[in-house]
Amino acid sequence: MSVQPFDSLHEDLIHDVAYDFYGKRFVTCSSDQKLKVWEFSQDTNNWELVDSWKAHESSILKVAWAHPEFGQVIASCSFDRSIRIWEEQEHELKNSGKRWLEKARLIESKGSVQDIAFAPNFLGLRLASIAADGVLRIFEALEVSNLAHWTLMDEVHVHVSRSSNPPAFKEAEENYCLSWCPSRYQSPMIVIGCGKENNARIFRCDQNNKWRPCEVLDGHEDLVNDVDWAPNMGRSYHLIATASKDHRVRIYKLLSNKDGFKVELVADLNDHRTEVWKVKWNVTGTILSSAGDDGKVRLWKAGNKAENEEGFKCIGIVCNDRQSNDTMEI
Amino acid sequence: MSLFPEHNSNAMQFTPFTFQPPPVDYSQFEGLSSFPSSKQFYEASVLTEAFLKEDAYLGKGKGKQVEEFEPKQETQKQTIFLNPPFEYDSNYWSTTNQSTGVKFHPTRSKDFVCYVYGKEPKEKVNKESFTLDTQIYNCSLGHDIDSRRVFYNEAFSIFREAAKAPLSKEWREKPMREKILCDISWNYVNAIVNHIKSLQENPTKDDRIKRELSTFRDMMAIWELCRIMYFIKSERYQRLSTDLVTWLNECYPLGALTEEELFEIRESPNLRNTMVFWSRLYKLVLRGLFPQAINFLRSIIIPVEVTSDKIGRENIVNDIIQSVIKCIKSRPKMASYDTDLIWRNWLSQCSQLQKSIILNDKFLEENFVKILKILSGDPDAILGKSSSWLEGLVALVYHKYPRCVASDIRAALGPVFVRFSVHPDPTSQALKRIFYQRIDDALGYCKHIDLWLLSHLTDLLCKTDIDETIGGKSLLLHQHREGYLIKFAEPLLTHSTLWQVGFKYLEHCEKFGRIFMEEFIGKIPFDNERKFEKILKICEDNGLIFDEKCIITTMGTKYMQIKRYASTIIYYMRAGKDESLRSICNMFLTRYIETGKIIFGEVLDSIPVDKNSNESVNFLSRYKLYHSLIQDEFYNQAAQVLVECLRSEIPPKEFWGVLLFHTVALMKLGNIYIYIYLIEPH
Repeated sequence: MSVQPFDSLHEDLIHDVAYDFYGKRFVTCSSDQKLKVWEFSQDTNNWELVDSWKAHESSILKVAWAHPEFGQVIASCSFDRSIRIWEEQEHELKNSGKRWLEKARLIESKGSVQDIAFAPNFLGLRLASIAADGVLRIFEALEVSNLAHWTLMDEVHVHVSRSSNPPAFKEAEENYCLSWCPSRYQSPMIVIGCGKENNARIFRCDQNNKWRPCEVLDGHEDLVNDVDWAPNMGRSYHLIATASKDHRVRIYKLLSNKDGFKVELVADLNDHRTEVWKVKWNVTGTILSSAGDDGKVRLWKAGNKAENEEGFKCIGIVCNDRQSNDTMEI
Repeated sequence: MSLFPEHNSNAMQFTPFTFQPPPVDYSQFEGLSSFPSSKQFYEASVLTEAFLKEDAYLGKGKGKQVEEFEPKQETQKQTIFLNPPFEYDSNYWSTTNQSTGVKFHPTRSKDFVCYVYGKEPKEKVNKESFTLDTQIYNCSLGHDIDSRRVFYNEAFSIFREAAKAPLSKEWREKPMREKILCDISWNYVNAIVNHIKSLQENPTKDDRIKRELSTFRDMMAIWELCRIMYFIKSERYQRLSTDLVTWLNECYPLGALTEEELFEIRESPNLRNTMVFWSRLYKLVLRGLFPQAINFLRSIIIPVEVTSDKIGRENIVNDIIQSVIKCIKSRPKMASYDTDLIWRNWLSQCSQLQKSIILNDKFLEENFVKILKILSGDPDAILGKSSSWLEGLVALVYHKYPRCVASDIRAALGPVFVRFSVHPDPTSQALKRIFYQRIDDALGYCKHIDLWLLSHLTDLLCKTDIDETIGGKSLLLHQHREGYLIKFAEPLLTHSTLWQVGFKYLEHCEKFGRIFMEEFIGKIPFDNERKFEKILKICEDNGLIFDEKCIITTMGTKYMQIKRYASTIIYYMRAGKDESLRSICNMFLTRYIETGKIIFGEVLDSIPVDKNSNESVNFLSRYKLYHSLIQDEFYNQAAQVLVECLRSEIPPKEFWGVLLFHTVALMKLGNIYIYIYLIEPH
């Protein structure tokens, strides 16, 4: 058990961090409009800043790192309504500010772009985005060696009721998030936190490459702030976690049936007792992390049925200070 | 080879008890060595002492009947405190634009980063005043693998041997099976001991080293108890009680005397009347440490002068001491097959001696009688003088049931737990369940001790006939074996040097190993061709075709980034990335149109191309051949190649004009025949 802190040197609040595929580097984004790339140094046993540049005209809200099969590619999205694609230039010096070259700017969104995620690599170089206009957009770089050309493959309004006649959206009221299904043995799927509808919905890509709304993960009493689809790891079912403004972390189990999935709420955790903003599964889908306004990160793990431990249990807490009263140290 | 720290020079010196296990006579199952050879049993161990003291303390809650099966301990919550902490005030923090963010590491399941997260972009919030926190905290719940690298490598080679060993069902009735199991077990114990030694030799004695030592000692105790209790099932194995005593003395040795005790002994005018002396003697007898007990007894024989007034009384006491020593010395060895009769005779002698002891000094009389009662297996005397349930149980088995088998031990547990409670730590609970032969429960506690122990012990237990010997009940350990092994191997998969070992473990997990390989094989970073080929070998060996292609493509893309096109093409061809190859070839053709230079000539020189190669690369190769033929003035052959290029329809439409331009140029030469068949010529 260890903690290694370092200062990100951002001049405003951090909105997101994203690891590269191997976990050897990560990128941070902030309201200071900058992206910063960090690399783990074996020599100093610490993370070192390897580049920093002004990447957008407004706050950068999310950042994502593509699979290395497609090169060293970062996507960032911003309050400035754009998504920008950055490619590393190996020949440029570290910390020169030129190492990451903007290759494309995707400006289809009519509101701030609130979440982006690269698809799993077996689907090609695809990028999903969800903006404050409530539209899920799927972009694809059909020619991987030419990152300047991205094709908008599909646009889907996530509010099913509004899709035929979308009203003018109010930026301040909406909040969206998305996560791809990582399983290579399923048709492409995305779960989306659907803003004011207070739910999350699964969208599935059909044989004609059209994205359709499918199952709803309901039960939320307020906005869904974050969603994360767990790595499948050979399970016969899927797990999706949501973080909500209603102070709860929820975990849904998706069991395949002939029409799609049977959705079952398997955990409804209110330990944070404040708004929960982030949920994230680990690489094996065995531990879920959640973070909220209580200033704590909680780690959840499924009980072992063979040992009569049902449900998800909190196995760890990351605390800011030792005054905390609901922790148990070992 | 000693497991524990060197003998405390301040402590009372004992005659070293040498235990030399090998060579082993497996045919009789009697010489099975319990431990790697130990020079001394009496080394003080701070940790073991602490354990014994704590246990002894808890054990004083006399009369408490402990339930055989206690409820499982709750999963312990780990707490990480962020240091330096960020500015946090629970009263107003959530009303600011700040919250906490978290993201897991993409390859290490117990590593993550957390940070103070800006909930909304600054454009959406009114200007507010708060202390800006931009710290990023890298947190890890995992254990340090590097310090165990040698141990893991050594243990893996034993695991691999165990996997190859002929332990299938058809071998079950054969004595060789038990020999193999014991050999494997022995090798594992040796690996543990080697690691303990390396930890002891480590000059830094920080908390981490101490914790690791404690963990490995626990592992050792559990592993060896399992071997004694489960691995040897032969009816000829009659050393269970002696093996248990040896196990107790090695894993939970009798601590050295404290300074105060030593002082009391040194200052005592007459050891016979010293409590510490008798207390120590009881321990030696309880633990079957007879040579030391005899030495102790000899030390209180008082030489008597003929002129002394006390001659009669002292002679009597000396005679009793000699008789007790004789009694101890004549205790039958459990190895002999006619022990029953000899044992009964010896018990009868003990009993007679007890009855014959009548002394004026009642203190002395009581102690002699109690020693003899312990020797003859009196439960009250044994448990009354024991300081922990483990000591009590092992002493009871050794003195009262010397010829018992593993399944008989349950019967001895009742009286022990009437008198003692068991410390709730996982090791004590696991040991208790091993004695109860509830191996699934025991493994449940091993989970809280160490994943290596859990996975490897489960694996080896699955190779025994344990499921048939414990009430014929189907045990869960067979179901859990793979899960435990995967859980153990998972952190190794992305370790810089142990990743291959991790994947080898997965190869032994028939049901779920492949899924984990698929998830992790692509996540091994490769900086050189050698490592890259090793990764591909794992893919090939396990039929991970899709992942193999992804990894090769990634290698190709790496070369593409640094504009090494020949390597890129070779790897893309290997991965079957036709679209990417077409794109690269089109790029070369476009550059040719723009500059008139064939920059792909050198690139193609280092690429082996044949008719089965990618069509775009093949086209490029033929087109390059056309140019070299023209250069060497082989116009007819050049024309043939050009026709091939024209007919192939591979190049982009923009390039067709170039090919036609070449055609016209050739035709202008006059004596060149260009045949374009509308149908394929026969």
